[in-house]
Amino acid sequence: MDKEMENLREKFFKKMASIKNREELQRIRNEYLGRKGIVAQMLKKITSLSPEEKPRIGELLNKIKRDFQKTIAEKDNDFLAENSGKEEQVDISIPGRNFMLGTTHPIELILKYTEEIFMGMGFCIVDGPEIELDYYNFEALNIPKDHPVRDDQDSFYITPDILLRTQTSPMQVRTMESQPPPVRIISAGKCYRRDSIDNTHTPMFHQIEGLAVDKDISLADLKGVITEFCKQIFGKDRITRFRPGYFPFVEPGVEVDVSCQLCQGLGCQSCGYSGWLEIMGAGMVHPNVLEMAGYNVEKYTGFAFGMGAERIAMLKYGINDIRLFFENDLRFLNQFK
Amino acid sequence: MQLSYNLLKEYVDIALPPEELAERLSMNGIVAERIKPVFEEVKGAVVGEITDIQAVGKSGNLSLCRVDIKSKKLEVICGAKNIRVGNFVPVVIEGGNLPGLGKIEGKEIQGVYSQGMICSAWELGLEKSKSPGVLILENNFPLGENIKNIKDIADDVIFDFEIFSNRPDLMSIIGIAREIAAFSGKPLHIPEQELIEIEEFITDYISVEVEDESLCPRYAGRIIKDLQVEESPFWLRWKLYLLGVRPINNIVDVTNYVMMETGQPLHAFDLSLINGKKIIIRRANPGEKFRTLDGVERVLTVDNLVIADTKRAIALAGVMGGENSEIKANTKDVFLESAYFDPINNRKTSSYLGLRTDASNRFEKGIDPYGQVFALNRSAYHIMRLTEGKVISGVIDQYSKELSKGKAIKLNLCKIDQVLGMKVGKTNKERKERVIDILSKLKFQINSLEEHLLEVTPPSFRSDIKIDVDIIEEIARIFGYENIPSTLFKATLVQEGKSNKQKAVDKIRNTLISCGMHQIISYSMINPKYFEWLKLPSSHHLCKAIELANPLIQEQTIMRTTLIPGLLKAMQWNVNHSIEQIKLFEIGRTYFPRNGAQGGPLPVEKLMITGGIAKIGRGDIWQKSESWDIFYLKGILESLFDSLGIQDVEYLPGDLPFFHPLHNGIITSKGKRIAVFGRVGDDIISYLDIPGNILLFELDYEELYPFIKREIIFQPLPKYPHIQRDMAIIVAQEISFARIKKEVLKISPGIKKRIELFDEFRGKQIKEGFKSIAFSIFFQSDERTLTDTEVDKIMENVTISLKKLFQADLRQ
Repeated sequence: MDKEMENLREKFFKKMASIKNREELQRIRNEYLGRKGIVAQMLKKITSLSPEEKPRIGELLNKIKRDFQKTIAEKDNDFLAENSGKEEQVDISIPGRNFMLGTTHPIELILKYTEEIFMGMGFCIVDGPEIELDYYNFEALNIPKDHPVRDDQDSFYITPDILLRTQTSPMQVRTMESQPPPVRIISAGKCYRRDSIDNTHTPMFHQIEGLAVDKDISLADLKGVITEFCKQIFGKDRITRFRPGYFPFVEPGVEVDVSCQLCQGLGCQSCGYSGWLEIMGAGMVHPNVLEMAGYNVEKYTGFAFGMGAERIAMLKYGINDIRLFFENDLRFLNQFK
Repeated sequence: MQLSYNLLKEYVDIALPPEELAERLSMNGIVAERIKPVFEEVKGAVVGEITDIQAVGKSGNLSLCRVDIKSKKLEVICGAKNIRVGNFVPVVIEGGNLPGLGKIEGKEIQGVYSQGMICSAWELGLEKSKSPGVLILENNFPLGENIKNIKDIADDVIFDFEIFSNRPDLMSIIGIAREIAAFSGKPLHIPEQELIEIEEFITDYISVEVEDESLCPRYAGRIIKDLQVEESPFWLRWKLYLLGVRPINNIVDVTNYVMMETGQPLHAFDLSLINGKKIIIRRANPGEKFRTLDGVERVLTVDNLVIADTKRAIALAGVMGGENSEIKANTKDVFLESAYFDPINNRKTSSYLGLRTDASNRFEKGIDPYGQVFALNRSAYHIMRLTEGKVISGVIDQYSKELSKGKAIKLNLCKIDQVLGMKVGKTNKERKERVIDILSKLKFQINSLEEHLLEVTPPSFRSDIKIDVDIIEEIARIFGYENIPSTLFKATLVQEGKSNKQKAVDKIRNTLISCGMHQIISYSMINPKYFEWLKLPSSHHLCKAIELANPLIQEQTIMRTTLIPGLLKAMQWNVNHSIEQIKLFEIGRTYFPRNGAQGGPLPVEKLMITGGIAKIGRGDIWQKSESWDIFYLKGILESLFDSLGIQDVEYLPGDLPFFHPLHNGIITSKGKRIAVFGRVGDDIISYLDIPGNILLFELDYEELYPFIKREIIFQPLPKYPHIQRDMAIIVAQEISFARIKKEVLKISPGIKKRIELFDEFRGKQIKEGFKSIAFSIFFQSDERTLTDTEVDKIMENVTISLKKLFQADLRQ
């Protein structure tokens, strides 16, 4: 039996050395490894062997089988490699059949990023009416009629008491009226101002509003939260700067700048040579606002902030004309994949 | 507020160079929007003396001036009327440069070669708009010197500060100087000015009657006699240029300068034009006509406050003077007014008349109610010095008892730490000292301090300081926001970030994007003409739109009730820009008037989801050859419903007038109408000038939302193989696939069936009025492997049933 196996090996490798193509290889495969091939027949003979011989011979035969399989497979690969290129070559430079991806509007992208960042800090998302009472849009925000700040927010009116909201800040009061503290909300959406259209103004735009009210909320918390937001949305290398600002519904008031990405704060045309880009207004919620919403001003403090989504998108993506957001040109939209 | 570095330095010592000063001020809340060196972009301008003037040309509008610039004499053509022999003027030599005009070339004018140009203030970049006349310098200027080398003038830098509307006190040189003094610790200097009065008394000249004290809580005045109105000296004109104010004459210039210096607006009347020796401050009569200094006749109402004499109004209080009492070249005696008008009323008047002036801009924000006499005396002093006019003894100063002194405010020092989130001082003592130091520098009066409780009175010019947090902001501002730490919330708050309803919107957006659609955002305000274009009868509920009371443009006068107009507009835009494959959607609100009082006063806002597709031209054949017909659109909707787990929907013929009558569908679920879809009618397409078809859908989110399945429940995979059978039948055209499918499913209800259409065909081989429908049926059981015989039997029943119900012929 041992002798027989040795002959088998010798013969197989001799034949293998002389084969020239895959057809011959297939023939050898059938001859040796086929269902009724030589190896199979020899395996059948094992049954007639003594119990001591059986496992040893069985193992040797299986080894032979594995070796043959391996040799044939290797040879087959060699043939395949040789033959490739001889078959019809496809022009793999031809474009694939495209799936034509859809896109999210860049403003939606900014709203989503922002919401996600703040949700990570425990804020929840609330929606409010776009057609709003003058009371919530102005009065409850410490902006009575004839307040000079109203000049900067020329409004579209429906009736003398109802207007298209000029800011998302009315949601501060609406939220506080509807729930007791603590509060941590983000409210984003469309706002409207009677501004003539040019490359930095459209009569409709989007704002993102944030409000946090609790015991012991401080200006330092506002700085921490906003700094974190700016890092996440603009990148870790950008510096955030806080300076005094004026909005009637906050006190102290804050303006937030980020360092200009083009000049790294050295000053260039895009940042008006200041090295800084204004991105949002913020501050500690004015006690009058807390009081009008029915909160105990002795117990609770809070901060609020608001920013223009178009402005953030323009800075983040380098868009130079706000009108592009509402023209809905596919050559524009297609860039926000 | 425009002012210059050198002007500020007259009032406070400044150690910082201009850019650093601006940076520092911005960190204190005073942002320089613009910083510009004076004479920026001016090249080759020197001081020259006009030695001869001769008229040239026939018109007489031009003169040939000989100008001595020390090194040589130039011949220059000049059109200005305000030049005299002996005047020193800035002259730019050919080859030089001016910010208003660019490079200056020598050129021949009226047969004379002009070797340069005598400059006006505008040409030198000192004014924003052109004014007649050239800039006349002072005669002690060094002849021939480049103006960029003139000491104390050329080295100046002009700032344009943005002033928050709650800080009118900063709309003055002294106001900003005071801020600089507060953060730098340097003293503020306000030059002492000694007034010499003559022995005549103002009460003999004039009396003042304030009819409405609430609108004019304070009115002060002075008289200066025997003066000479003329051009102001160079130093005053120069200061006004630095402040962005155009010089007029010495009297007006002084009042303007003092306004810029102190923040208190002043007005000068020609005393001889005040009738009856009396000033009356009253409300205007209804319909009273009044011509302001700008020559415009204005019709007033009782809400407008006027300054009048016994016969007529002579000024619009706090806004603008009148032509009938203005200072003219022959004015000899002047009544100077310095008042405090009610900010709200002043603002109403100026916005009602659309007239904003430097004065109204200050009054409406609330000036210092205690600064009137100070400003009056400073003006009188300058007029006295400049004109040799005589100041009459005494000041008229009428004020209301209501005129408030600043109210005392209590501040708990611990609250500072609490609001700012930091300790202002390491110890209580240090905190106390710091706070008192800051507030003293800001001119707050410290009334008392017990333990942690501080009581202070803000200075009268700080009407913005009302409560304790206002004082905390002052402390933070001077302490510096940059010195406050950054912390994150101490307490955590666990809540769900988004509601299910918000999450479902995100899912819808994602699904539509997965279908290759592009999200758009269009204006909420639309053109009402769209309803006409869409052939909607005016009685249609979509035409009941909310109107804007004060629209900005004609294209945007009403609030949309459907997103379709915006979508069509976007499609049109893209077609016009030669984009051939357009797949757009919008998720946005529509707005409807509320019926009845229920639900509050605000309109109803409904979220809609609208999509549209259009393939124009040949398209990219290699990429995609599919046709974008109504079934393509329906495929998008079915994918959307699939993703939302909405199964029970019915597609029914629709009735919207803007869809093609034969491609017009509505979608219902359990009897509720959740969407419309269809192909936009041919006439509308041709009206919009779009070559090709547009298919649209609009989903009503409020109606859709209740049908959305939120939970995913796993269904076990089938254990046994299915059996597939194909079938093709010919039926009358009106038999819908939905009906056939429904009938097939009814047969052998115990066995699961899934039906897939693979062809619908009408044409030559099929009889007129009939169609061929081919579909596969997949049979499946959860309990066992189905046998062929079993399935054959069902197929037989299907054939019989379809034949009986629809006269369906089996196609071989």
